[in-house]
Amino acid sequence: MKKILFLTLILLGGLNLNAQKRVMATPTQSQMMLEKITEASAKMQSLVCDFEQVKVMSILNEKMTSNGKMYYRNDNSLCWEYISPYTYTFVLNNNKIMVQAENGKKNVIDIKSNRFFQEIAKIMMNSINGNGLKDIKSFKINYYWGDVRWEIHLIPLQKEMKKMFSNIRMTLNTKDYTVDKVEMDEQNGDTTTILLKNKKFNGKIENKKFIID
Amino acid sequence: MGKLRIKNLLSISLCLLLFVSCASHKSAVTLPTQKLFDTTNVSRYRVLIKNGQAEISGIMLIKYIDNEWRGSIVNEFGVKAFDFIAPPGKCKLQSVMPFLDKWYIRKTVEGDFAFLLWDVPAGKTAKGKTITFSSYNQDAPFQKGFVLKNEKRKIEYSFNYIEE
Repeated sequence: MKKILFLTLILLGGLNLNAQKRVMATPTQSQMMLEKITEASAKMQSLVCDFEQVKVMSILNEKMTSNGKMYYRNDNSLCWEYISPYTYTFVLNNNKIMVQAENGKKNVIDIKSNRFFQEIAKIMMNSINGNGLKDIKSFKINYYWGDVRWEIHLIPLQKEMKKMFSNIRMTLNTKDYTVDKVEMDEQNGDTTTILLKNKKFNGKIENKKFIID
Repeated sequence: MGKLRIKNLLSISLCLLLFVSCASHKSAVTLPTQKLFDTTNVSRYRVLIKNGQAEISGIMLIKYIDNEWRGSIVNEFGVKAFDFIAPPGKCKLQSVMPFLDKWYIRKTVEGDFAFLLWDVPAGKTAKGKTITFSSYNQDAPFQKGFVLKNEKRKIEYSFNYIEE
């Protein structure tokens, strides 16, 4: 009897958490969410964290997990370093991108001339600094309210982005109002989930992390 | 003295040429008896596709399911380049990224992957396509590093196994 009661409580607890996860925010709540996120983003001079990226491939029913470190500075600089199981570095510095593969070969790309990287950079930056939430030309934005976490769904409106993604979901915590998780649903049924962990705010980051040469 | 030096230089050059030629023959195994990919588990490879100055790098996952190969090539961020399904002797691309989705790209890649996944293990060669191995291991159940070259289209596909 005790066991049944215990299981019921756990199940109810689980249901409660799930229900909490997806409650559509009222217009007042949405406005408040936007304000809190913008405020937190303005205070964020820099961010260093670990990330875990899980890609689910629908055609194989398999997932691929990669890990790395992320460095962000609010002067439009970003360094995204994959460490395992492969190494790959992506540096965004204003309008330039540098990618460096395992063989050490570097490629510098002008963001304006490469639509694909333009979209990638936009998603990455917006996920960190919350600017995507103001981009109403590019996304239809839905806010979901919860006590411990908020969810924001960005549905692409522009042709290029629409071809790649059907939905981008960001989960933020209500402690520091920053993004903990980004989930991207592709049109072909694949999903990519990025978890940001061990966040350290406003520390000094070596300049060399953002140098493009 | 001068003649001797020239003779010596000539023989060194010949030896070097012979060595280089032997070395290239050794690394250019074109007809393996083993399969290239693991047929029992999903495998992950780093992939680099080169065509002139243009390059695409990414990760390939490949698995043998119900007598056909299935795979997916994604870039390092996880954005898909294309999926493929390859029943015996064939290969069909699916969910091709918009900027690669041209009929001539599909046709070439499908032909190259059909060769890679089916013709080579069966011991056939196709005109203008070769596979070379960075470390060919005859006893291994699958190979860990190899390059497919399509001479006609000047495309090179490099595959390097990712250890878990």
